[in-house]
Amino acid sequence: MPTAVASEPDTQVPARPVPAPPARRRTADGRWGGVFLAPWLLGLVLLTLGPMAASLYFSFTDFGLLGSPHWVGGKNYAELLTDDPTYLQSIKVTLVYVGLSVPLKLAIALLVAMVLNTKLRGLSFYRAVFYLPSLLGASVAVAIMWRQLFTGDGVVNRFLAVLGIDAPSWVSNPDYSIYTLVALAAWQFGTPMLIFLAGLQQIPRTLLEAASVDGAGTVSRFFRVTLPLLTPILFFNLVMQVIGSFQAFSQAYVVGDGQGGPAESTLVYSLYLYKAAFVEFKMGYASAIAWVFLLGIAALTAVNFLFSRYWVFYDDEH
Amino acid sequence: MATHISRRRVLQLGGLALGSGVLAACGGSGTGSGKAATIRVAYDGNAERTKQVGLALEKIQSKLDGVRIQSEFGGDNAFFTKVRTQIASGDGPDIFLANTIDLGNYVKSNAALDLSKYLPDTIKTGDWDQQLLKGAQVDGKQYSIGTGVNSFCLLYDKPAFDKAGVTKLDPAWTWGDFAGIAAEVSKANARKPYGTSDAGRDLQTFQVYIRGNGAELFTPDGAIGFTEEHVAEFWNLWKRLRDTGAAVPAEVTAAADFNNNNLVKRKAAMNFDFSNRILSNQTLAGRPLGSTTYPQGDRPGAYIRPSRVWAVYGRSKNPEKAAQVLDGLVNDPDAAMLIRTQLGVPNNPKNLAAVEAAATSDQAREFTHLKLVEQHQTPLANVVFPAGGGDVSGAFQTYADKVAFGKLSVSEAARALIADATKALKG
Repeated sequence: MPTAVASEPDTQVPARPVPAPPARRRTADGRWGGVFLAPWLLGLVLLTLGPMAASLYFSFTDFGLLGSPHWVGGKNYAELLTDDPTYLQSIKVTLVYVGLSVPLKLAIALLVAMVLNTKLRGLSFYRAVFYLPSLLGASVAVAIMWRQLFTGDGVVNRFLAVLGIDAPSWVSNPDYSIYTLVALAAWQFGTPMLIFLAGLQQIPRTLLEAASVDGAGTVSRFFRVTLPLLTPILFFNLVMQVIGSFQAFSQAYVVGDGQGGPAESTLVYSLYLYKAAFVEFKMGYASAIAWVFLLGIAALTAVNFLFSRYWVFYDDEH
Repeated sequence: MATHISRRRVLQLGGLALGSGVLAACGGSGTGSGKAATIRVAYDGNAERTKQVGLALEKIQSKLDGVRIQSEFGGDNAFFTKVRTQIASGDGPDIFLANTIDLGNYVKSNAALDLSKYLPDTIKTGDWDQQLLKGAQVDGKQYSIGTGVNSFCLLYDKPAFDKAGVTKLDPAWTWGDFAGIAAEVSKANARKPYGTSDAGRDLQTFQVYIRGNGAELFTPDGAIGFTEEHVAEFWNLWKRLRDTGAAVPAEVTAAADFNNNNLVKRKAAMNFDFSNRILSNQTLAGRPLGSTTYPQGDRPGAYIRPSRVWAVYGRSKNPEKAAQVLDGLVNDPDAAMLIRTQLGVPNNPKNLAAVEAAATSDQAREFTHLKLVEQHQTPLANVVFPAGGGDVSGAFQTYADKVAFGKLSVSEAARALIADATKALKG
């Protein structure tokens, strides 16, 4: 792989026109570079930075929807953090969701990746099959199917009934509904699995063989060789999954019937944000919710990076 | 076919949303000067209703000059989500169907136009019962027009009632009578079905309940009109019904929804519903259903009401033309014969007579029921909830669920609800 990337500029050099004097060439290049960048820059400014700035401004106003916004200072933030039990509930639900789904998903992803890293017959077929649920990702269809599976008289309970187990209605009971969402997230382990798989294939065989020769069994080879070498990959997956899970929306929207129900048990953060904005039309308040969210995820990611130095092993720092 | 159109529409909207920022920067491009003004009409319902309303709109378009009507429709929750999102992005439909619970929020956000100046000339309401117009007002202004008339209607499973030997229901029955019958029916059928579905999470049923004791949900100026004690009394009733097996357990309630309700699903023998839904419930249930009034307190709590309301988008480019289309929806005789009672019985007296005369015996049940409620009601001046009323309705459900699932005690939940409702109505 690395050689292919490195060779690319080389092949292009002969095709270039005769170079102009260096100084002029640089400005001309810059200009053209600017032209080619323009669509992306325009997109960034108009579609990302612009709305972000607007949302930051709105978060300090009482902006409803069509009326004009009035400056209220930090009132939205104050109310959010001190006088909104539903908001606290949404944080609780989200933390449970992230705290359970991320480790579970990563564990399954790593396990399946290890299995698929062996010399199995029809390996590429299995890889595709295991990746499939992730392609369907946040799709509404999958969430609807999930709701059907775990409902009171759904497939899961019919199966359990055959085994003589009288199970509750998973999605309709606030004690269990969040776990159906966790299970759905864990089932979609394909993306981290692929990344793990790529990482596993980078681990030098020689190291594993040397460990075997030294008498290491499967378990200690995994914990002493594979896992340490895999930590950068694990770290990458962890960061991406944590950020992704915090933003979970469509699954909770569908399974919780658009309300985060039953009894607010699936009211994840982004769903509460959505309800504030598009159900109650409190755009200013919703903007404040969004900004606290952004800061929260940023802080958590920073903590993640901070701690990474204690457990992530990079091969190049001896 | 229908899905095809709506998907294209969604793509168009996506494109519009992306493009609108750029377009806005270009300054006012000339719209509205063309020949035919496009009026977008958004409505929801089951397949039958959306089809009939669609046909009625085609009829209305053929009678109006310079108007092209574009239908947008969906079912239930998805519909409201779509309309709200469109409105939030400044691209709301010119005319949209709202319910009496949520309209107040649209009004507060200036998303609904005051239609007073189009009455009674453009929207010809001269010969209507003026009380019907009043019912759709907010703060004394005509922000909406009722689609038709309906009222509260308790539907019950006749075979399950027969099994319990309950054959005759007194329309002046009390909540105590109701609880007794629910227990009997549940017992006689060994909880298959349970005696009643759980209406403890429904703010409108609560409204009927407290009106029977002389209280109101909201004061005339849009503040909270009920107390913690009212809520606790109501929730204790439902808690008792659930605990004794007269009403369905909380889990069963959480798995049901408005259309696929527990009466239809054969889990409950009674369901709190509305008169214009007798037929559709009957069809879905697949067994004979009876209908009667909601139970009452010292006096009846029910009232005759606009089934749903039509509103014109506050930023419509063609409010005049939209008002003409709205007039067609509520007054045009051909449209009335197509929509029939899908949105309640017509407001317009001539159309009402024509639709009633053409009703089959099944369809006539709705008219019969409304006449029954007329004799057992306490009229209500302002049916549309004030701004924030929709949020109260949502909070009512949430706290009722928390009680039902044992997460909060009745008194804790009632106190929290009052706090939330007071905040929602004030803010």
